Amino acid sequence: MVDLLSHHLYASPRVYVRELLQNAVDAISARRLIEEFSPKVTIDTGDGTLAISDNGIGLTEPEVHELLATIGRSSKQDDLGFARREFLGQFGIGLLSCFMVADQVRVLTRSARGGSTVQWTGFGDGRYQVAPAPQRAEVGTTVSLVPRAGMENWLSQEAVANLAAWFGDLLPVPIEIGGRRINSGVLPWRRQYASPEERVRALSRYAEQTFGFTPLDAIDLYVPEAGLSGVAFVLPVAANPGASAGHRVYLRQMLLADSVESLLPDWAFFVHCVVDTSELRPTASREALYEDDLLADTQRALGTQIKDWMVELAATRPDRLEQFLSIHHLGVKAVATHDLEMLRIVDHWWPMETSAGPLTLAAFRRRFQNVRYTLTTDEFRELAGVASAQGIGVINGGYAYDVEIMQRLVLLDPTVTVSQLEPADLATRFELPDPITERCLAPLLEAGSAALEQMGADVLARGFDPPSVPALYLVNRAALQAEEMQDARASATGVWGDVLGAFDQSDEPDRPQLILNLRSPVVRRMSELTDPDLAALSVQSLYGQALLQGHHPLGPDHSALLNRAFIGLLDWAMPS
Amino acid sequence: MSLSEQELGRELVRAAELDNREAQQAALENVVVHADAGGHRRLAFHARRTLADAYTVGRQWDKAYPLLSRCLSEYDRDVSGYGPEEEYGLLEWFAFLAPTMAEFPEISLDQVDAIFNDLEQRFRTAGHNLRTVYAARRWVAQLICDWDQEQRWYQQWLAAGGPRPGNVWDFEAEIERLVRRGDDAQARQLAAPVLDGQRSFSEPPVPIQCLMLLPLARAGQFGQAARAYRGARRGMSGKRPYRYEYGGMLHEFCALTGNEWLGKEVGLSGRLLGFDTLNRPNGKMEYATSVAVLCRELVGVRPGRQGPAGREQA
Repeated sequence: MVDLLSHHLYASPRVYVRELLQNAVDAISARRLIEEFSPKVTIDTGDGTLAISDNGIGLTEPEVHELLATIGRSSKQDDLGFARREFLGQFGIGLLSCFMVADQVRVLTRSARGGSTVQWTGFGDGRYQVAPAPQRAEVGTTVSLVPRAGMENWLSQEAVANLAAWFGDLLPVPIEIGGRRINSGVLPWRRQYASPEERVRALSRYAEQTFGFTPLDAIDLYVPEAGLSGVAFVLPVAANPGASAGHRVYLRQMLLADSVESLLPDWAFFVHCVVDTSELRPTASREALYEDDLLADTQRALGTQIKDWMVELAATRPDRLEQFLSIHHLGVKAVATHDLEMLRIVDHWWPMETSAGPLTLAAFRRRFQNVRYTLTTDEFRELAGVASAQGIGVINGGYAYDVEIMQRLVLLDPTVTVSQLEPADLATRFELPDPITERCLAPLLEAGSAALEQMGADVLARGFDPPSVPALYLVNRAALQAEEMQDARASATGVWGDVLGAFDQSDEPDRPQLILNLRSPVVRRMSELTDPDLAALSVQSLYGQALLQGHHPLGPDHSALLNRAFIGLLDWAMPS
Repeated sequence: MSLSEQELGRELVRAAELDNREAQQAALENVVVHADAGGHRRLAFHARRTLADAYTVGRQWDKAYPLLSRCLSEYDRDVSGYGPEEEYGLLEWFAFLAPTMAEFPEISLDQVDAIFNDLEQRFRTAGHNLRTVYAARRWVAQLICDWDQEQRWYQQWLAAGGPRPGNVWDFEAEIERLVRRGDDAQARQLAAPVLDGQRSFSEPPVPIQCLMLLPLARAGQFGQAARAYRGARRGMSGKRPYRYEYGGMLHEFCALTGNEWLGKEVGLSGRLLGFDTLNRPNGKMEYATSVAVLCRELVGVRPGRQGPAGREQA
């Protein structure tokens, strides 16, 4: 049993202090049911032993025997959880945890229901004895520990005082060590304050002392069905969404753990909570919360309260909301991907990167008929300027959650159309050359098309702004996927060729396009070239430049073509 | 613009972690074309595999098959260059993708059978247990309702080792075949320890909870059904992706048990947003049918009515 407790149930021997405090508090609660008295818990350390005394209900001799039966019955971790649910079971498991640090545990107890004082002594090897003892002066229980070799440090006054303050700071019973009280005994968010401002300051100080940061704001939490109250402190700096925020959870004012992750939804990584609950179930080790329906409901309720806080900020303190969003937009955007209220907040308050500068989605929709986005920041950098010059608004969808949020806009406004900016669509907005220009361009395009045929790209000439961009290389995702299918079919053997053929329903796929800009002075001069070789070299050069500008991949054939074009132009430029 | 193999490797990791599926697919496609252009064959192999996973999670199943085919060709070109783990991973992936081909009417059953022969031959050549192959063949027989064939492959699966302990998807196969055959009683008996929480797996028991909703309701075990429903919803609320069929099972259960308005709440709008791009025919058909049933029940139903999945009767 001791092995089970120390090696499998608890993460650290330190919990023995919590277990003893829990026993003392439970005994005091039980005595309160039958009489009024002034409760207290005292801890004494000296000559290497530890004694913790309470003036709770105490045990009668039959209860001591029943206790022994209870704790001797079980050796499975799950049973421990059940045993804890009643007073004697919890008391016994609390005692057993002491054997992680002690060789000998002595219990001296006198019941408030009468009877004489009883002494139970247990030993680490499993022996125990029960004997009458001199009458204890006061009703209650004293548990004394004699340390195991090598575990003396766990019983030193400093260690015990620190652990007792750590676990029992908020316990509603005075705890004293050496005549000094070590706990506050009050939930900070339930304490009476002189004014609301004083409460805000006090909670802020509490967050500084407990979590090490001054919160941006504090959100009161309250879930009656879980007997839960507490505060969520909003972090003043951006948090890593991947790192789960640990929350400090008290169970009936005893610290359960300070890094519980399952209390809040994953998206709420921008708050750290401290809560006290009477109804959520702890695991057998009392170091985490049991994941059941009540915890799931509580998680949802707490998430709703945090969302309500944001909605209220939007309505009452928009400047504060903007400050909050500037730090924690990732968390809010994560919620907006599945929550309409948060979607509205993002829509109205979060500025996205657009071709018209930073704009909220609501403002963007007022300005542009359709919401178009790029999937990557590279694509945005390449196309935004050109799209903007054609009057097309584009949003950079390269940031986390932005594309999902844009795709969900239809839930707020069924008339909105949201689509990815396809490069080929962009090309359809460019100006076609007039018939005269088209005739003049024919030799250039013919030479250029021949030069790029081996690269599988078409060459077109269109007028578009800005004139500083001489050429654009546009390739649709569908073209890349079609190429992948073609290559797969070419390399497939056996039945795979037929199967892929059945899947390959695409008609002639769109080929990548090199679009020469007729408004570019360079291209206009190119159209006047009479030497077909030089025209080909020029088009090849612009092809390479457009590939580089668009961060497109350069394979060996591209590099070879670029080299040829570069050397060719040098050769032509220098007199022989 | 050329990126080094190291830069591309970092980009592959970054892309694989992207939350948005469309952006993830675009980023991974970019890695594939850059890896091909740079001649980084092994990196391209892994990027194709990751991209195929992104396509399947992103509802674009047909785009995954050419990538699988390319990876198999690449492997065949240099078998000795792949370690045992890479090889086994490739074959397991093949076995995961192959059954869904049977959902596409463009692919004949003879072609599916030929694909499975290729799969089986590869498992045999590599000296691996055929359990995964038989499991995949059983699923296809179940899909086309060839119950004699399904029974034969099931027996072969069991003989080769059967369900792996702790694997919820193997256990799902045991439950699903019973439910699809109409053997609710045996399905309830087999699923009971899972629904009671006495038996757990390395993943949440969402597929079992979803599959058992209607059998439990049909047996009048509404309390159990409500618990399974809430467990499934909880399990599906995380980041782990589930096929549309499971969402459909929730809608259908709500529709048929007087919880129509609850059915409308359980992610219907989110799923419908991506539904038009789902191209796996059976999944599309099953989900559409569930939503149709839900919509039919919703017509004329008063708001606020709740059946066994609601808290009041849980």
